Amino acid sequence: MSNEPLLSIRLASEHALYLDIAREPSPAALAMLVQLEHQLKQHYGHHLRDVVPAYLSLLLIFEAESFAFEPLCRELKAICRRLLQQPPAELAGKKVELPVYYGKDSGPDLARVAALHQLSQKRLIELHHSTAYLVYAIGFAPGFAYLGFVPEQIYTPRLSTPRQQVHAGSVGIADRQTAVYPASSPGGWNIIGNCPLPLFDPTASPLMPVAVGDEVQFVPIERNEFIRLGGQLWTD
Amino acid sequence: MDGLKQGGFYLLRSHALCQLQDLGRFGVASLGLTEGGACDQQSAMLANMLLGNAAGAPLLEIGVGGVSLRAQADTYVALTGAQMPFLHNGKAVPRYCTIKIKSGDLIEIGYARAGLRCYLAVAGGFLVPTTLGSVSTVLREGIGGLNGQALADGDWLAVNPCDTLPLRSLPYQQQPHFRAVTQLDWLPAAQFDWFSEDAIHRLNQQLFRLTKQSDRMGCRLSGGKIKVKTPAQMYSEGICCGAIQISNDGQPMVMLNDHQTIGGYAKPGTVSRLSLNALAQCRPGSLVRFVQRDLQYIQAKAIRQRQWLAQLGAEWQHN
Repeated sequence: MSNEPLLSIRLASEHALYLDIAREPSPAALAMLVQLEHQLKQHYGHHLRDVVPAYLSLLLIFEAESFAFEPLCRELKAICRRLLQQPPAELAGKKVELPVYYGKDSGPDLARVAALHQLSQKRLIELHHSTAYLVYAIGFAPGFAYLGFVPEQIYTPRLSTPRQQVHAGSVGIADRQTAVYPASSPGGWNIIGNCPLPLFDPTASPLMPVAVGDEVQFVPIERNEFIRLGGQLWTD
Repeated sequence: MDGLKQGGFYLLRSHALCQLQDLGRFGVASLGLTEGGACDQQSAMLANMLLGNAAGAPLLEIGVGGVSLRAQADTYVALTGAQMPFLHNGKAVPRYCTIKIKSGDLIEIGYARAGLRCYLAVAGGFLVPTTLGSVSTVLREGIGGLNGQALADGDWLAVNPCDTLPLRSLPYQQQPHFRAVTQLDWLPAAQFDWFSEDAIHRLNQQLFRLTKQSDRMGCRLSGGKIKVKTPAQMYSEGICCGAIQISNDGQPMVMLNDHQTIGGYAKPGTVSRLSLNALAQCRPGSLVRFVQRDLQYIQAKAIRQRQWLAQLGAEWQHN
């Protein structure tokens, strides 16, 4: 990562813009992204209608009335310069443990993915849960967190034909990312296990256990424990 | 009286496109929640303003039409947006006008003759609990409305009765009109530089047709293929309402209110909020044309529109 936190500012709409802060995703770039998100929310208050952090950029959506592009660019550049003069940001996100039952009755693609990489299922599972992942973005559906990055031995392309229905809680791999489906939906990720905990609940506070910048550690659990926690086995 | 509730409306006939909406849900896009809200924001605001409501009071967005309600309260309603037959106890009444309603009255909305979405507002707004700051129904997320669902036959919507309200109307020439070809002002943004001059020229010159795969998430268009100059590796980034996303097959999709919050397709730019209101009234098969504008032009037009609405609101307050 360069020592220039701000690579560019791009227009996004008549009242929104993108701040680009890196060329490749990294823990350092993610730390900067999260720090900027918090600072800008504080700085602009209700003028900033929404902020979407993802991988390399922040999308800043302003109230239409308060969007003046040129002055905003100058101000954002100044804020970024000030940030650079401080010690580099460190990831201060939560560490969240998520239980996962890896099994053929929770992960319909477990055997195939293991065979693809010429690994035993045990080794595949070990590789998947021995890595701590960072939340690089949340999207696709409420609470769907993109986690990076899985060990190189288990990079796995998406299914050529997505499934009509992936069960809630499904833990999947797509290329070098992994994620948990918070709700049932169509999906093309390779499903190797299931997390029995709710990952998005509009009536809970907080709404979801993780945010962008947090660290997720998967913890393998047995089938009995999974069912005790309310997990649902995979049925087609 | 035969066990019917008082102080609200019964939906006698409804369907999946009849949804409670307001101006959207904000501040939660970072959790993957879309903004939702009325697709034609101006028509929704005008419906509320006719009744003296806050611009974002909860109202009904009715796609296509074919909805009827029974009033169980004395109140006022107003209908704006698409041209749909509007009947009060079987008698045609005007759109863009305050209509006095008595308990027991029947309100029927027929099928759209022009446009796609109408907005039915009631004095004081429908009384519905908010989810994360908004009543906006997002079916895909199961959030907002009544239990995250569209309105169904037999649903009950509570209101505060309203005895007197000034009768207001918007002159016909000030109401939005529907054209054979809808012009979409768009702003170069996002990955504009990734598109060749030729691709941008095509986007600006060709007529595009709305496909049947259009919905509240976005309008899928078909026409000439728009190609990305260099298929660069792209990491997903936030998406805003109006973004023109070019899919792998080169066809544009314009994001509407229920758009996904992040995505990894290249976007040459974004349709203006005012043009989105017009796009939200286009049905599958309609023709649209993209007209490239600069930020100054689009902002000036938006300011004029806000001033017009503010002036209208002020005039209506004084009569």
